[in-house]
Amino acid sequence: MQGQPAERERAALATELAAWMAEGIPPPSTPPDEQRFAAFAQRVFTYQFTANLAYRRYCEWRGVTPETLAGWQDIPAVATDAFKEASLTCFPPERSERIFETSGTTQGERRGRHYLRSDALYRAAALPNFDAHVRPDGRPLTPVVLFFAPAALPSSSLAHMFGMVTGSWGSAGSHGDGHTYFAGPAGLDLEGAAQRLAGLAAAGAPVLLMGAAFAFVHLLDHLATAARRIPLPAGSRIMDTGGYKGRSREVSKTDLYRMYTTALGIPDDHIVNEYGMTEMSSQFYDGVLRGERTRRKMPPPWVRTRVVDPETLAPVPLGTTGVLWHLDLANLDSVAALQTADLGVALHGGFEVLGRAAGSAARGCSLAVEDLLHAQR
Amino acid sequence: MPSADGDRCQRFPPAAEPLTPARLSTLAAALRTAGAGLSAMPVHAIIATVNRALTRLAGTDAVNVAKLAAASGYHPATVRAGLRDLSLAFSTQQLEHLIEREIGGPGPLDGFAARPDGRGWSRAFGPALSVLVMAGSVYPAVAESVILCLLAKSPCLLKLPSRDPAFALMLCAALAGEDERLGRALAAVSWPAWDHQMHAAAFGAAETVIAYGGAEAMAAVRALVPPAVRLITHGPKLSLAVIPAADAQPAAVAEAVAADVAAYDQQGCVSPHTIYVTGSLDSATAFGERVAAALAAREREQPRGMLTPSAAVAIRQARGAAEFRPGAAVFASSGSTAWTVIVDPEPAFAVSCLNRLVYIKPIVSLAALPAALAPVAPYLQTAGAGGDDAFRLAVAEVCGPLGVARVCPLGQMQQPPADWRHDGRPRLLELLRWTDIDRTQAAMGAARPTA
Repeated sequence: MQGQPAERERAALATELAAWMAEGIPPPSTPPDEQRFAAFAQRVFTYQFTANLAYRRYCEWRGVTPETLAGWQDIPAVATDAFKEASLTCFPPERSERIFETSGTTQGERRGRHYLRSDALYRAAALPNFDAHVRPDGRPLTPVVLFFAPAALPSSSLAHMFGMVTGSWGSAGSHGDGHTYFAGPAGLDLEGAAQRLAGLAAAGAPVLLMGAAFAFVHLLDHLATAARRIPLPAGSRIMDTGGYKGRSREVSKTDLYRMYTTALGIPDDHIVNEYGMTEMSSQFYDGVLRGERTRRKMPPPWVRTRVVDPETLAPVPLGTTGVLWHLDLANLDSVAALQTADLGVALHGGFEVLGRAAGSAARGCSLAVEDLLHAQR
Repeated sequence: MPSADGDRCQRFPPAAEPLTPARLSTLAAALRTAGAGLSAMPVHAIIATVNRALTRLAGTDAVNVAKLAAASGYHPATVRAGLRDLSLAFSTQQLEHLIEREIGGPGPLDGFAARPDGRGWSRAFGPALSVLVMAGSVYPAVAESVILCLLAKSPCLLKLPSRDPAFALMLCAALAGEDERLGRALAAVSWPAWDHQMHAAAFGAAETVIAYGGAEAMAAVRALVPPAVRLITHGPKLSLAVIPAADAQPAAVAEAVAADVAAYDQQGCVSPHTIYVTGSLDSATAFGERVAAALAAREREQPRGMLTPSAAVAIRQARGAAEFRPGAAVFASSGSTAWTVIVDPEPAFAVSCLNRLVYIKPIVSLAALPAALAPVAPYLQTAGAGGDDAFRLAVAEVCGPLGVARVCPLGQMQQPPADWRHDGRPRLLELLRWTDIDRTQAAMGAARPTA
């Protein structure tokens, strides 16, 4: 299967996967359809093995080929840092519809690139998952985003996702003609966001407030300086994402969520944490709005996540910390199996994210690469 | 919160009550007083005491080795090898070399001594109190800083590293066990990095502060040390090795490189991150394979220690990235992160995530080194070099101007002699202040060598 046949299989997979995604996210109690996943995983691996020469060599070196693959668990995963080294695609990267880049934390550091062949498949994966976890009630919401507009930051997968989900319900839920995005070249427009929120609160329009967690810390600090509280209308909710460390003062997740409630009147069960990566096409959400009592990330039907021991790469027992391994079939045109640098805890039916591994801080007097990056910041 | 007993174990001398700024000030005052006892000891007696203590440490029983292993994460074999090497590194002969090299002999440490030039007499005094801010768990670095203070007859207050305080505590106890005058002049405590009152109490009492740590920690210490107190900082450093193409064949060379990488799981400032091999990518790759075999053999004898999940993830990502780097090759332990060799055609110095992960790179000739090392030049420490004395000289000619402080044969990077210029400067001399007695001008004139 090469050339034309591979292209035909790719088109078939894209159509069939999108159809599966359009069926939506089943309730948490539904057992996952293992057979369907396994069959798709085998086909996606076969396609990627055929169409991506660098990945094929990587797999062959490990003795794994489509013929010998025993199960999806054995699909060789690529380290996310490899996205900084090569264009990991099953198509000529210059034909990308979009290119997402990881945010380099320091100058001079190479950025990882995820080349997107088809925005349609990305969309097909993102929207039903978002709707199931953030708008399971289908309620009209006015989006307020503490982040850049997609056009202002085209290389950001996060900006793209915010744009996609706010655009997906058009202007039907939007209230008034106020701004949606409150970050620009000058940084976060905290006062603008506060005024917009106050206006929506006065109008009684439920709000979906979205952004990176560090931006929320800044907004809450901004409100606190004037001892302001903006109780948002019932049904309002928050979707936050990303770490709580490094970009602003450090705040524990528990403290931050308590502050959301105090300052914005949003109860804990209306705060949804999202976890996504530049290198992935699918996302993960807390299930609090769909009645789950404890926070955990449950993969959508076309994704499997394992928490593995970084030393041995074997899955860790429940309740144990390890590093996250994803198989995301929506990554049809890049690499589906990913070995991340994100630490997490294995939970029944899902996992919780602890954040990016801090690297290996030197124990002695040598300089580890992390320290050097820090020193140059 | 540590139990009272746990806390008691984390201090020397052991104490049950919690440390407060007032208690720290009292402790510092007691150390200053104990300086008199130390001053009265002839330096040869201090050296002899240090030797006895290190010999005792080298014979530490399995229980204490296990304690040290648990505290540091090192494998017990690494702990045992480290303790054994200490008694050799700081032997009587080594310490006498150090004193000879830096101040011409022990005389000025014990009293006013006639200067060799005949122009008068001089005596050296160590700091009335040295505060040592320790960073990590590389035993020679910890031992060196304490021993240098003792040779300078300076009482020491150690701020223990948060990771692995066990070795420094065991060293203090061993020294105190041999001579109570040393014991009274040593204390080791810890306090959180954010507790500025404690820092003020310690640094305010010091004559000299000697600090080890990362760039951020050094900046924090610099801001907290009063202007009148001397501050000597040892920031983080990087090391490399250079091998001539002709030397890349013998297994012994690969084994020596593996020994340098494996020592203290690469945590030392003298541990190599990148090994340059002059010549082609093919010969670098062949050498990488030999180093991999040597690291595998070493893993069987002296396994790499336990890692945090983050440290293991860093190795997984470094390996995984290199797998997709054009021209690169990865040789690695399977089923573990125990050891990794990454052969990389890109000549720029690569900073390792440590824990036995080393980069091997081809370089056209030594003349290409300055460009490859330029981005990390401020951090360079030691260059291991293969080949003969002439090659080591050539490496020193190139690396010296960049800031490399020491060029040494392969296999002994982690065993610098006691008299080495750590970070390129004398160590004992840096601690000392001098009192000179001048002779009369007439006598000094007479003593002046005639042209």
